[in-house]
Amino acid sequence: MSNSQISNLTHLAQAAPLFEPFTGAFDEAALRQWIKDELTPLPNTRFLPPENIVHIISGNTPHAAFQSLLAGLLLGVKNRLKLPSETLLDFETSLAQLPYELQALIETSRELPDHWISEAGALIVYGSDSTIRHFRSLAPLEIPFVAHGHRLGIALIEGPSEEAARLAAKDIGEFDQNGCLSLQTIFVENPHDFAPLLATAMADYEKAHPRADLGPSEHGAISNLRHETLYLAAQEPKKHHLWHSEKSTSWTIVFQDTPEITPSPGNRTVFLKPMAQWPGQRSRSVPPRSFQNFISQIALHPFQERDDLPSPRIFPLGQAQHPPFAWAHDGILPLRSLVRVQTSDSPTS
Amino acid sequence: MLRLFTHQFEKCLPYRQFARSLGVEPTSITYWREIPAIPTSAFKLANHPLSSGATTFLTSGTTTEIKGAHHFPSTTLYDLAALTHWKARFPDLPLSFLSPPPEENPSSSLVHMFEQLHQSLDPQNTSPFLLRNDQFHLAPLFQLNQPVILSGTALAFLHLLKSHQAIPLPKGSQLLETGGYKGTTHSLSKPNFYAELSTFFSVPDHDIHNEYGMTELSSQAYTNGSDGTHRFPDWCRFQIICPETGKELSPGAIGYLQIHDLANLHSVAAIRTQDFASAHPDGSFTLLGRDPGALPRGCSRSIDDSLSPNSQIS
Repeated sequence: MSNSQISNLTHLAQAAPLFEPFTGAFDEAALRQWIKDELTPLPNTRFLPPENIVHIISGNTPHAAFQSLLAGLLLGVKNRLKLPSETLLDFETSLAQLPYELQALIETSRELPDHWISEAGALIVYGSDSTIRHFRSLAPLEIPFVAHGHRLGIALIEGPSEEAARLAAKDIGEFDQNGCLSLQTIFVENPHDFAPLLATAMADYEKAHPRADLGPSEHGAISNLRHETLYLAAQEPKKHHLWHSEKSTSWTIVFQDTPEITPSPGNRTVFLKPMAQWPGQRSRSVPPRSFQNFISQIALHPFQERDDLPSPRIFPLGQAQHPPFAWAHDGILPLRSLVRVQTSDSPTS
Repeated sequence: MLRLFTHQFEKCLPYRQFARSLGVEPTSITYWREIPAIPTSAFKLANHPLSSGATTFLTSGTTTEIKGAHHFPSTTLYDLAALTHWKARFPDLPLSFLSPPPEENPSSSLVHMFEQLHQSLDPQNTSPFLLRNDQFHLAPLFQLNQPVILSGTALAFLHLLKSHQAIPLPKGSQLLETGGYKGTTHSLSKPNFYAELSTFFSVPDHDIHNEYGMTELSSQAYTNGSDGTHRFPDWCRFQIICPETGKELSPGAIGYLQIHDLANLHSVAAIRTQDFASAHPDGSFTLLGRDPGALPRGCSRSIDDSLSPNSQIS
């Protein structure tokens, strides 16, 4: 480990309160352990960090920005963050609270300067598939390229219970489904028994934690889905049903006895499906690759170790937004993915 | 409107089931504003068709998207509605279309309307369609000796602006664009788009019109100029619906456009769109565009696909 990294450990530990709401709790020992876990070199090798890292940040919550930045600072290199033009507006203000030594390693911009990509030593991109494809085509071929696309969180719930409903409502409600860790679809045994429990839990959660104000388009995305579901339910009542808050779009439960999984319009709108529609259940085998590709994580209730779920993260229901510190988002090791390995060959005798 | 609702309630099983699920029967309402509107996605349910017939118009979209289908046992009323409103709004001038001919796109309601206008109003014109096999064939525009009405999708106009030198049209000519270009790679404000059209064709802003229509409807609304408001024909009504509560909003407020089209005789007259608009007290409305949260749609897209960088433009 270089001296600059060791120095950064101390500064980062001091700055932990700023990061922790979005990265999980850590101290200097946790940072040392993270480096040890990911960057312990094999004999005759050492890790070469990139000269700088360009982070393309998207979304409405600062989780990705802080998690990505923490990894970059831990590597002791310059970090250039392209921030969304209309969200995370107080992110720069937060960075001003960092120790000067860390601030010196950070540059932010709301517009992407022309030279950032050509000078990038590594590129991390958060965004839609089209955004990722765009930057993949621009990135220099020789640099590490890490992509985190839009993915869905799902839950597998064995049976209806008030506890399961309460935990699911928490995973749906936190951050109003504005991230790829949000729960969007639930597979459950006896969904018609579970839905009323979930409806009560979501109403209770709304009372305790009112949803953020929405614009017309966000309200409209929910009311359009409700309108379509009402129409479908009128045609095929066994396949479609709707539970929702009255006189508002605060929470919505859409029952679909169909195999398709579609993105939720967000803001506390969840799809409910019978467990029989879970691909692993249908085929009694690992879900197909096409299905795995857009699942970010799977919540289980009750939690049990399973080897038939290829999702990058499996966790107990209720902890969707609280992954472990230094976790492998999308199955990608945050530090290891950004460095290259230098091998020193021994002289032959 | 209420008589048509009663007719459609009796004849259209999917609509009757939807209305009943909302607690609405013909005998339970007394005003057209209470007629339940169906979502446009209802036209995508092949298992529950709203109508049947020999002619089917399809919504545009990529090959992987499910297309909406509007079936007509006869297009007589559709054609009469289009022609009547056109004649009330536009002068009697020769017609040209920046559009493929019907044989290339037989499922497009817009192309069908263009062909009906051609057959009824300008039948002696032997080459009104200027887009064939994904290529512009613009020679007729250079041979004009009198004003013309040039109609086409916004995307076709945009491709022409980018690929050709200016084509001044005879004084008194008019332009009609439709379909929009949101959800594509094009980003241009409407005033700027109209300014470019005006310069390119030497047509003043107030003689450039927008047509608002969709496959799910049988009537169209038109504007004059870049700041003009849309107006449907007298046989249509519209409401502005609050996206949060589903209640009707007062003039000036922004919400979803819900249309009641009497010419939709064979399917369902009341359609809730995903387009934002605000109403004016004079009966017109300002269209604010497609809900950004909704999927991109519109007849312009198929034209944009065909004129993508991989296709040729002559």
